[in-house]
Amino acid sequence: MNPLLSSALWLAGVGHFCVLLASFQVPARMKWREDLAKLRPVNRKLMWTYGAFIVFTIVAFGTLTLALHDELLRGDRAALGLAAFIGLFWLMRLVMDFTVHTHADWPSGRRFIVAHVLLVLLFSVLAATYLGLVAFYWRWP
Amino acid sequence: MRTATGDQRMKTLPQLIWVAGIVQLMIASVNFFLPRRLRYAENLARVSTIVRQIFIVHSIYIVLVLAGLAGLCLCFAHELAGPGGLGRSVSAFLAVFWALRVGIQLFYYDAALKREHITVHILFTGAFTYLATVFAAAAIGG
Repeated sequence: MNPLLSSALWLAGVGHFCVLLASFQVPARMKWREDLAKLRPVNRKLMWTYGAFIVFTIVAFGTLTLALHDELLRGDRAALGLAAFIGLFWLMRLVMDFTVHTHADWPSGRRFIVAHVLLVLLFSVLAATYLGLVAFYWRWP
Repeated sequence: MRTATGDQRMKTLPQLIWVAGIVQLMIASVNFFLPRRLRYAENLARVSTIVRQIFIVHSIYIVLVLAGLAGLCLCFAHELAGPGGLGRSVSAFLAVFWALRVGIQLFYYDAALKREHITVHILFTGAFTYLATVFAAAAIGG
């Protein structure tokens, strides 16, 4: 069992819940209620549904990582499939950050700069951990 | 020792999970038609840039998540149906995911909208129920 990968996976599991701590602040800080009131009900409900499912998916990723820590580290075929899925999920989030969600669109203020940097850092660590796990077993099966 | 019923289940469940993968791909593909159908552009023009972008990112993400889940089902159907901890845990996650979606479809979305698009509503409810049931079976009896 690789101790570096093992520690990285424990941290990645916990990291998902740190992302959620930030996510839960988004609706209030970005004034969603006020903004979303301008949408048609169907689009508003769609937005909440999408948000809720993404939160649920992140909860599941964190929980599965912590609960299946040893299975993931063993590097079985399905474990690597799951790790690749989670790694790509976070890699895509990074791509979005540099394409759709650039910092220019964030509210102004130092705390938003710090928050954005920390989030990008966390997304990078998460993507690197899971894709690193896949790469580790890909090269040394 | 495996029973005949257990053997039969181990044969059928991966096939049902494989079909679930296809169903999830079909649900993901519906999202390509939603922006025009629900007039996203016109609606999103009214909100702030950041909220508009979050909406777009969420929409893209849902498609990616569904495609990823479909990929797991198509590539690892036997593992998801099997007795291992990983397969059962992922199946349990998928069962809850789709059971929640059934609840949202039935109790959250407007009744008027569902009446207006009754065929879509029935197809969605049926698909979500199928997915929740298959994954629950895999999680419990895998």
